[in-house]
Amino acid sequence: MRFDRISFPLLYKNKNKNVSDSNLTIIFLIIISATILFIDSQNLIKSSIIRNKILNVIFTSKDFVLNSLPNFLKLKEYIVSKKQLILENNILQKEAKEYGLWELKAKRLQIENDILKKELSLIPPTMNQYVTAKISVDTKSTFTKSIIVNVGKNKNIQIGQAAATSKGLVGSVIEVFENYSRILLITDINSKIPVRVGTNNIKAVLSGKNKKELEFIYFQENQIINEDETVHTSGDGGYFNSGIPVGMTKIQDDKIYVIPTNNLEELQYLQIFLNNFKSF
Amino acid sequence: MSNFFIKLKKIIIFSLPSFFVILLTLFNIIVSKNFLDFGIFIALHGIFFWFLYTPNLLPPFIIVILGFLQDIIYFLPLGSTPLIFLLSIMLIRIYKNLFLEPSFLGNWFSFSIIFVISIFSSWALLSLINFNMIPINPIFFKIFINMLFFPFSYILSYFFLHQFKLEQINKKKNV
Repeated sequence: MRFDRISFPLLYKNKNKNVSDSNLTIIFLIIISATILFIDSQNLIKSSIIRNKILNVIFTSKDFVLNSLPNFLKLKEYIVSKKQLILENNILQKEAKEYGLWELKAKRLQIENDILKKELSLIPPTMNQYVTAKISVDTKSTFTKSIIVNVGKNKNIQIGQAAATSKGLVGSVIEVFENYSRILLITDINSKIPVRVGTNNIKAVLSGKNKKELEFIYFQENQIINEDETVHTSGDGGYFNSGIPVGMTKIQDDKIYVIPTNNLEELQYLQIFLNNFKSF
Repeated sequence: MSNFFIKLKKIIIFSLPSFFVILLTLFNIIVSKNFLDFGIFIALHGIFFWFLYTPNLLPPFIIVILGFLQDIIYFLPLGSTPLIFLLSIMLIRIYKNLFLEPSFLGNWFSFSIIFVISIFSSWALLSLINFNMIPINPIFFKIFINMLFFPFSYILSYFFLHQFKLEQINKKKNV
């Protein structure tokens, strides 16, 4: 009886202590999170290093798991009948013969072309080098607009390179990992693009607003921008190659917007230009 | 050997709430994002339920780690998501202390309020960091679909809670 009387208030005290301890833990964690947030937003530390290391670990483990799984498509390839294989072989042999003839013709034309170019002393045009990438993870959210593609340092991708499709600009590379890289889309609130508008080549700077359309944050004074004018990168500052289409102008409620040529919600593949700073 | 499996089973059962929260986040990134984006706060479904019924099985530091991982994946400022998650945990605790045995409807309503507070706090915080107003319209859609999805995640969590007697384990852990 005596034991109970003594132990009951102690137990009650212990329970209360547990609650206050967990409250303290949460407050402590809030302070830590707020401190890290402050340090990161003020760029006092290079958080990109931590981000890169952690994302590399995530992607390496993802690749490991995916590669460890049995490939059922390959298994299906093995189960092909002999008859089908013979038929396929015949078709391939026929195609190989045809291609052989085409190769000879192409080689002859190439030699002829080289001789003619030499005669004209023609300077060969600089070709855009690009890598085609597939979108691996769509990391678009209400607050940021970015995507992760399946090429990285392994394909010589560097920060600042432009990402585009045949329709126009998609964004720029902001983080590069071993086999992956992150692309900041042109619609992101932190995206700023130097552009030229329409046939008058009006200089302007576009900014994303986390919306579907882009807004002008600067354009040359006393210049009129009309609706349905094409907007393309100016190449100013050497950030993007010049002449990449960005979108079309649209006037709504006396405000000028730019509708991107690409539907950024339905992207699957894009090209990353490797020779970004050639005109800088 | 059998002892090892018993211990492993125990660890898995103990970690079920944490797994549930992680799986909800992965579900949004890998599966549902392509057709219906629940947003980064889908994890709040799990956090709300498990903090209400088994708070001892979901340590706050797991939530912090998950928040940091979300920040890294979604390219958000480091610490913004954990901060919001921890604030929502504080709100859940207040709610838990106010209502001892809340009904399902009560939980649904409270979850909606906590979700709205969390998403608007996040919007305000990120707008402040970017020095630019982030569009507010998509947030209303996120609130709507997360409120609709809540009963499904609640039923699923409730099933696991009863199937593995997690409430009893939680009480034992408290003693």
